[in-house]
Amino acid sequence: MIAQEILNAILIGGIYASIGIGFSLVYGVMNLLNLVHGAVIMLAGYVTYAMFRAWGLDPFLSIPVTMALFFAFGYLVQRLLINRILAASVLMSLILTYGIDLVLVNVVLLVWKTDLLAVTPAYAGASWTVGSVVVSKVRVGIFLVSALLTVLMYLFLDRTRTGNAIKAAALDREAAQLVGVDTMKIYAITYGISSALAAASGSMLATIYTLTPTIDGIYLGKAFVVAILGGLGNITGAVVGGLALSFAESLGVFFLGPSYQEVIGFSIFLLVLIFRPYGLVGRRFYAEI
Amino acid sequence: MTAILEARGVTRRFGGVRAVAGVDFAVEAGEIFGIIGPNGAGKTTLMNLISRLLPLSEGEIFFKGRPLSRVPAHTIARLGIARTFQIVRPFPGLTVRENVAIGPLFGRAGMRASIGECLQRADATLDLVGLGARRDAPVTTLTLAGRKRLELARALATEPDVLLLDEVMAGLNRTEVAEVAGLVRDINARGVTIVVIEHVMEVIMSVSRRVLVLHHGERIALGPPAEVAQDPRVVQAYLGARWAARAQA
Amino acid sequence: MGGAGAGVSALLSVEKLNAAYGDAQVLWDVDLTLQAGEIAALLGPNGAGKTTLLRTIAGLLRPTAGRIVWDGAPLEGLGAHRTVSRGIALVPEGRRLFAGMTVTENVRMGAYLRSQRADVHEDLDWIFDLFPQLAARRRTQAGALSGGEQQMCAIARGLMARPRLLMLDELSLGLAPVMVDRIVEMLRRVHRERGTTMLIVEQDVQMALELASRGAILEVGRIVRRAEARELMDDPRVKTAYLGL
Repeated sequence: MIAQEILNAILIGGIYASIGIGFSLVYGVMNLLNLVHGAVIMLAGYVTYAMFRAWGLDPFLSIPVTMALFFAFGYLVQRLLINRILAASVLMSLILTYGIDLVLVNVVLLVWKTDLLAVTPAYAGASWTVGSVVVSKVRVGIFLVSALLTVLMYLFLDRTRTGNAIKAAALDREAAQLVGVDTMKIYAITYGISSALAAASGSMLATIYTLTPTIDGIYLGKAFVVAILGGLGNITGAVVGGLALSFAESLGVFFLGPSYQEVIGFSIFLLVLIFRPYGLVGRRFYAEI
Repeated sequence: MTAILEARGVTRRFGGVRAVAGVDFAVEAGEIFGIIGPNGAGKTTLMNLISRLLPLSEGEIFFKGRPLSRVPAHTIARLGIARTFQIVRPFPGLTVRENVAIGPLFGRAGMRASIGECLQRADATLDLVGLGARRDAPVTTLTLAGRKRLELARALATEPDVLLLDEVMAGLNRTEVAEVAGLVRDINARGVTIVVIEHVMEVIMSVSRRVLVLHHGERIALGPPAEVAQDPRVVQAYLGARWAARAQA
Repeated sequence: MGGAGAGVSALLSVEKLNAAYGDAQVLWDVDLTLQAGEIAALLGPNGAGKTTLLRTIAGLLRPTAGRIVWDGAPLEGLGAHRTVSRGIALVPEGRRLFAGMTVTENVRMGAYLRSQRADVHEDLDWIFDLFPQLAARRRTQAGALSGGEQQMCAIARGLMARPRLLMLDELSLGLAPVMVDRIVEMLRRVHRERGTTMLIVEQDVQMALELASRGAILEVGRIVRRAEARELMDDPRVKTAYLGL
């Protein structure tokens, strides 16, 4: 039975990692704790649901759509709103992003009310059986897509001009400006990318978990824990953090029972903050393996 | 003359770096004592050590013969040491007068003054620094020069024996600098010992009776300004080794 | 370098420049001109505003009054990232290398705005020829370099933008004299081969006056003396500016 839990942990760890990467990225580059992150995950899930209901669009195929949509959303939100308060205190950014989160939650409430919704494509329950372990095809798909996105993210930051500009802006904003990087634009792009990643995660999560107008908080919490575990700003760390969290949850549930899932996560979070505040992986900035 | 403030082997470490390393000096009561040195020499750290904002890593500082490391930081003002800060942050919701009155409320031991008495002392101090006319103005209406005077008044209102001034001239124009320099002399004339850090060299060298030169956290010279300015080690610290070598030749 | 009105054809002309951090004013009516191809030194004690002046020219700080004219056109309110595109590069105090990147990555970032890949490649070769010590450490993380190597890397990064004006802020800070000499030689070579105009802010006054042809002394935010470097070398007023006596 434990093999089942381990497998689930690995598969879920992938998507936890992709939830955390975007959150970590924004913090590393702009020093912003983005409280909108969970809401984007939530809203993207609802949009995927809507497209599935209206046009039968397969949720995995909806990923490019939601990613493009929320990249634009993120870019504009940063450029027009968040940019204005970046230089102000942390409190301002928390208030603003929290406010945007509230707006998004209420959009969801307006459009979809409080019904519990789920995206159920035909292949939803399909699985392979290996020995005594049941391998859900959907979860494998989610894991593969998340892994792909993580690799792409890594390559983007390391090999492209814009990616390098993002790294540079995160490492030293002024020095980046001095070589010609338009940091304002880079911030908007970074925030857009983070939203796109969140959207992809949201579209995928809609196939395995129920959609409710409260999941913004749950996913924000997970993003936070993953990012802290991995060290804020550290992409490799987010991968480690994602797996660490999913393992902790799975094993916790296995040994202690399902009601302990959230408690485990946050307990680890507290312990890490106390004993290793820079994360499990250490202090170095991301894209260094 | 007795040393009112004395430092022996004062050292402060940050991680592996010694920001202040084994510094010795004694400030005599009633003098104006300047601390100079190139950027990063440890001047502000030293001031933070004297005013107990930072604990010592090694060594000791004596005030009127009493070791300061035994004294909790918040009681410094009661003993008679006051300091100003580089970035002037007045209490925003209060008037000029109220800002200055706060000091005496917590100042010298035995100064359990009433609010009325504190306000009176504030008024007297404000007149001394030239802000008398602005006493009821909200503190946010002061110019930079006004805020510097306010800083001085706040410190003075606690009736200190030693006043620590940290770059009080920064950002002021030439006229304002001259005015504040005059004010510093006036305050000193009333018997307050003054320890001053300043980048406006002309001023600190003309106002100080003796000057301590720090470089990389160490004391490299101590003496009257004219002497210190000729000291080859000081010239080297400020202008570079090659210039000093040429000047010697 | 010259003062106001000195040279209609000046490459850089700073006119009555005033700058402040919040309401603490640092520069007061600064006038300065640079001719194309010259090397000028900006001297003065700490807190005088030398770094502030370089940062304002580079566009990191907005002046509160006055203007900066570059190649005939005003640099009004341009952010730092656009000033670079106009041909002004600043090698900042403390080097400010990108710590998580290698030497090559750092140096390449200097060419961020350039689109001609062949030219960039050529320049990269030239840079590594200029700084062989850096070439040997091409793949090293910037954080693992020695002080001298970091300075070379920072200068290399600045040069990759092919600037017409290269500004260097306290390049000798924390470096052994031997290393400083080596770097000065490299700067001389850059000047010979590329004709780059240079403005250096320097604590090592002797080095600065040996490299530069003209110098100016900044004291409490004002230029108090302008002269040929030769003259300043024997001028006791230099010492007075630094030590107040």
